[in-house]
Amino acid sequence: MLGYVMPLYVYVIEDLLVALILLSSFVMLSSRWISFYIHAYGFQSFLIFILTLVLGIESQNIDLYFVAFLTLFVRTIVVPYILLKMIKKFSIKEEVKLIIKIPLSIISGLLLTVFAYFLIYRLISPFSPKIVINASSIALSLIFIGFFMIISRFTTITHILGLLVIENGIFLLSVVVVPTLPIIVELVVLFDILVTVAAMLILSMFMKMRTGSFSTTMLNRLVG
Amino acid sequence: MNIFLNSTVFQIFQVITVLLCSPFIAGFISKIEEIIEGKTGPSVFQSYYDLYKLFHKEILIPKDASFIFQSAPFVSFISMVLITLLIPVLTIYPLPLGFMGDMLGGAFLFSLSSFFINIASLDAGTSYGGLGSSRSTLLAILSEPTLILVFVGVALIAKSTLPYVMLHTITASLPLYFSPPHFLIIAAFFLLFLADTDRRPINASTHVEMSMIEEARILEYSGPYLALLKWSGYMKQFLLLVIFLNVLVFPWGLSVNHSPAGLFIAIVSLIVKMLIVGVIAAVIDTAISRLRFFRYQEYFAAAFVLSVLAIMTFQYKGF
Repeated sequence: MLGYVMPLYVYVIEDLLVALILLSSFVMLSSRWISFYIHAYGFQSFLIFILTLVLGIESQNIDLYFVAFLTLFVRTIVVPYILLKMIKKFSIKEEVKLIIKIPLSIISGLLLTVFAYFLIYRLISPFSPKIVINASSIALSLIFIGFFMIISRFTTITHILGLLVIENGIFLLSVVVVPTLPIIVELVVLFDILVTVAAMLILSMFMKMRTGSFSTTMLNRLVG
Repeated sequence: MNIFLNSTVFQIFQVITVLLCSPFIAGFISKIEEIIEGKTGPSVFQSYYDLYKLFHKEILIPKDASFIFQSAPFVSFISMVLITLLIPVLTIYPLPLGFMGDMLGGAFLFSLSSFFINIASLDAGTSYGGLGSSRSTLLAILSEPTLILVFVGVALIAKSTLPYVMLHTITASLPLYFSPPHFLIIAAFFLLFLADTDRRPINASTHVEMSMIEEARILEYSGPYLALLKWSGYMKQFLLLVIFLNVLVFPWGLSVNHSPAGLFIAIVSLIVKMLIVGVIAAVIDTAISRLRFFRYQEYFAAAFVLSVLAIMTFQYKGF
């Protein structure tokens, strides 16, 4: 069996938390303002922190406590802080540039979610309880929605956020499906995030210097 | 001494409660809105005064209007009274006429009333009538998928489309009450409630022709006809609140037996619950700005997402 066996109230809490996590990714899909986007990401990471903490308390796993507080520190505080500061420093235009309009992108996110449910159901339904199916399909749909965010938005900040949503999805999947993962793996993922954000911010600053904007539409000029 | 009333008495009281309390709730919400905006506002009973005044005025009918114009207020009013019989307003057990129709029947009656007002506003032949009816038809088209999916979600949870069964299902199981499908359905229905009762972010029911939807449809009516239409508008809001509160959000406090005390407690608790939701609705109505007409789809897409996610999360819930 995948996942832990837990009392009923933990299942109810876990259900509610994963549903809220999915909803916050839809909030990100439907927002027009970058600062709102970043705050929604912070909120999503905070929910993941609570979920990890609840699972850690219930299973009395010290590693999960550790991972939970690292999540709180890195994903909920540091990364949104860096991004918000970046916006202020470069006075980036607040409005998100969209290729696909908001209603269509919400509906596409919905289709991706349904697809994720379908995939997870086919993959792990024979040997896992229903709660794991629900939570891991939501994690997989976070990954899909993150990809969709990268595809459908122009600016580099939103690309970074899409990548971070993918990371969140992977982290959620690992916490829910295999909570006994060695702590070193989780640490690697968290450092990965910090390095990714730092590297991408430096890259986008260079892009700002060269092209004068954060929009990636300019990049097709580089084609030789 | 135990007095036990007939269930017919309850059925009658159900209709009387809706008829008499609905203008009060409407007046209360508008009073709260005015207070939030920093004004004194009209009395809570202003809706009653309006209805009284309108019933004592003469009826003016446009020259080109046909029988549809005259029948629309009655159809609207009577369909609201019929919906009252179908839903659990006061009692937790089904009343004799509660089995006339299920939630789909109620939705059919709501759209019947809306349809008659639409064709009546077209019937008068003014340009404002056409404008109002086309806008409200667009809104109905956008909100219909969500409404259907909310019903599907309720039918999945309760294994029935009768509102009484849904009420019993969620009160019987506490994990189900706190499960995401239930909350998501509540959220989707609340968005529909805001849209259907003419609140922001969809539209303010003002008389400015740029933004009017509900007012444009009934612009040609006057006197008792207008009073009936206004009253059925108040009742529509009241009934949607009853479905929202007594079927979905908080199905406690209803009468469990035939006693007069139960009847009294049911009426009082219903009013108290409604005042709380009314305050929330008034805060939302004053805090949010109006959406542009071409951005309504974003709002309804959000409601649609909520209802689909309710169905998806119900399939694999953890208990």
